[in-house]
Amino acid sequence: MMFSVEGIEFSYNSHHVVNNVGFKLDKGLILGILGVNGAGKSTLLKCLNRVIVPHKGSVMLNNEEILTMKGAEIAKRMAYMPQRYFEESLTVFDAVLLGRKPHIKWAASDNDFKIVEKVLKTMNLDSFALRAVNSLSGGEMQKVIIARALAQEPQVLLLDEPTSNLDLRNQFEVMSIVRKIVKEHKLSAVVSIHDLNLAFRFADLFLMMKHHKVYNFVHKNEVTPEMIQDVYGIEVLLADVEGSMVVVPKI
Amino acid sequence: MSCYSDNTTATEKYHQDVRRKKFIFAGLITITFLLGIYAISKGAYQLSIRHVIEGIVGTSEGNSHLVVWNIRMPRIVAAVISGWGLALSGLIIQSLLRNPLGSPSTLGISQGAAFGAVVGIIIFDLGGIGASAALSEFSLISKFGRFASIPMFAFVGAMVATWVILLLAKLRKLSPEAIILAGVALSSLFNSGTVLIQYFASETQIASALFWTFGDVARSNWSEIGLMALIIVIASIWVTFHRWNLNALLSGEEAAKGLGVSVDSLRVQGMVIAAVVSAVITSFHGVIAFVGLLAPHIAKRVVGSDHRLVIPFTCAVGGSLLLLADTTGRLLIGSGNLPVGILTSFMGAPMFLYLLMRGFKR
Repeated sequence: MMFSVEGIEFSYNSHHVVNNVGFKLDKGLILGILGVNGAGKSTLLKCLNRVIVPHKGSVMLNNEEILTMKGAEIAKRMAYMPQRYFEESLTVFDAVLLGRKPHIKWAASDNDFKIVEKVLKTMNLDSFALRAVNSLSGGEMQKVIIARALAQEPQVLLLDEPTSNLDLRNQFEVMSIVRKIVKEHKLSAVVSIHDLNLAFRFADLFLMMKHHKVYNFVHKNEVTPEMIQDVYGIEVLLADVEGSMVVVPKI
Repeated sequence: MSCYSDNTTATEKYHQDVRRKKFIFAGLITITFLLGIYAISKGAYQLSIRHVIEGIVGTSEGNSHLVVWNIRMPRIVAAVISGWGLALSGLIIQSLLRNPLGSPSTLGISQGAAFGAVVGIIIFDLGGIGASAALSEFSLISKFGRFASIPMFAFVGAMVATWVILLLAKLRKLSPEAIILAGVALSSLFNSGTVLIQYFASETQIASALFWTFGDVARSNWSEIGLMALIIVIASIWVTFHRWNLNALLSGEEAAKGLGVSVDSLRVQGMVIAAVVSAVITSFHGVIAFVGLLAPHIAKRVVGSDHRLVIPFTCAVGGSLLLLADTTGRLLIGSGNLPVGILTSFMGAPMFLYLLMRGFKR
C-alpha cells in the first residue's frame, strides 16, 4: 500500500464537512470519489495535500507523513488540480513550467526545460507552446493543467471534477490521458467525479461519501444499484452495454 | 508565429520569445535614459547635450553643474523612482488580490498615506512651515523624538487602508469591482478626514497641508530620494524573489497552494511592502494617481503575465511614464512647475475608464 489515508476530519464553523474518512490506494490505480453535491468530496481532496489543513488524520505516502511536510515537499509528491482555474496571459509553456515550481530554487534549470519539453510532447501540446492560456478552449486548457501536474513529477494525482466543463469527446480524451499516465507511470490518482458512467469506465475503485462520511469503499465490480440509490437517493438500473457498466435512472 | 522552422523544439521557441521580450526591455530602458537626458537639457535654463554630459560627469564648473545636479537631476530621478515604486506596488496589489483594478490610488492606500501625512503636518506639527513650533518644548514632537516623521504617519495611514482591503478580500471574497468600491469609500473617508483636520488648522498649516495634496516630484532632496530608492530596491528584490509564487497565484489560490505556495503569508507580506512603498512615495511627493494602475497593464500587454518578465517591465514602464508626464507638464504647460499628480490624474482617468469599458479578464 503506497498511499494510505486515515481518519481525516475537517469542520467548518463546528460543522463536520469531512468526518473520519480513510482509504488505501495502490500504485497504478484510480480511485473515484462519489457522492452528492456538498457531501465533502472537494474538501476531502484539498485535505489530502494540505491545501486546507485537516483538523485530524494522517496521509501516508511510501511510509512518509505528508501532512507535516513543507508545501514544496508535498507538491513534489502530489499534484492537485482544482475545479476552478483562472489563467491570465501566461503562455502554455510558462503554465506548464510552473509545475516545476516546487523543484526550482531560484531559476529554471536545463533539466526543468527538458521535462517541460517532454510533457508537452506527451500531451501533444508542443504546437501550442507560445499560445496564451486564456485563448485556449476548455479541453485544451484541461490538458495544460494535466501537463503542469505531470511536470511536477508527482506520485499521486488529485483531480477535482476534471471533466465537469467538457464536452463528451473531451471528457473521454481527458480521462483516457489520466488513465494512461496512471498506468504507465505507476501513479495513484484520486478523482472526484459526478458523471457515473465516466467514473465506471475509468476508475478502478470507488469511495462513496454520504453525509460527510465514508458510505463504502469498493472495487468497481462490487458496485450495486442499491449503493447508488443509497448515496444519490434515486432509483437506478445498472446495465452492461458492450462491456461498459452504465447507470440509468429509473424515472 | 509561422517564422519558426518546424524542427525547432518548444523550448527553443520559448527562449527565442523570451529573448525578443528582453530586447524590447533594453529598448525601453534606452528610451527612458534618453528621455532623462532630454529632460535635463530643457527648462528655463537651456543646456546643450554637451553641457548636460559635462554637468553630469562634473568636468564643467559653475551653472551647468549646479542646474544639472541641484535642480533637474533630483526631479528626474525622483520621477523615475516614484513611477517605478508606484508601478511595482500596483503590480504587487493586482497580483496578490487577483484584481486588475488594484493600485495604491484606486484602493485608497495613497489617500490613507496622504491623510497620515496631513495628521503629521497639522496635529503633530511636522511640516517645514511650522518649524518654530516644532522646535518648541510644548510641541508633541519632543515626545516622538526623531522617530516621528511624516513618512511614518503616512505609513500608518496607508496600512489602515491596506488592512481594510485585505480583510474585505479575505473574509467576504469580494469581486474586483466591489473591492474598488471599497477603495472609493476609503478614499472619500480619508479625504474628508483630511479636510476635517484642515478646518481646525492655522492658515500656514493649511497651506502646508494643501501642498501635499498635489502630487509633485520636484520637492524631494537627495537624501529623501536615497531613502525612497532604498525602500523601492528592497521591495523589488522581494518581488523578484517571489516571482514564481506570483505566477502560481495567477491560476488561483487553490492551485497556488497545491504548488506549495503559502498564499496567506505571501499576501500579508506583499501587501505590507506595497503599502510601505506607496506610503513613502506619497509622504514625499503627495498622491500621484493612476501610474500604479496603468503601468502593470501596459507591461502585461507587451510581455504577458509571467512575473519573471512583467516585474522589470512594470518598473521600467512606471518610471518612464512618470518621467514623461513630469517632463510634459514641466515643458508644455503653464509656469514650468506643474505638479505631475495633476497631469497623471488627467491622463489616467480616461485610461481607467477605457480599462473598465474594454472589460477585464481575470
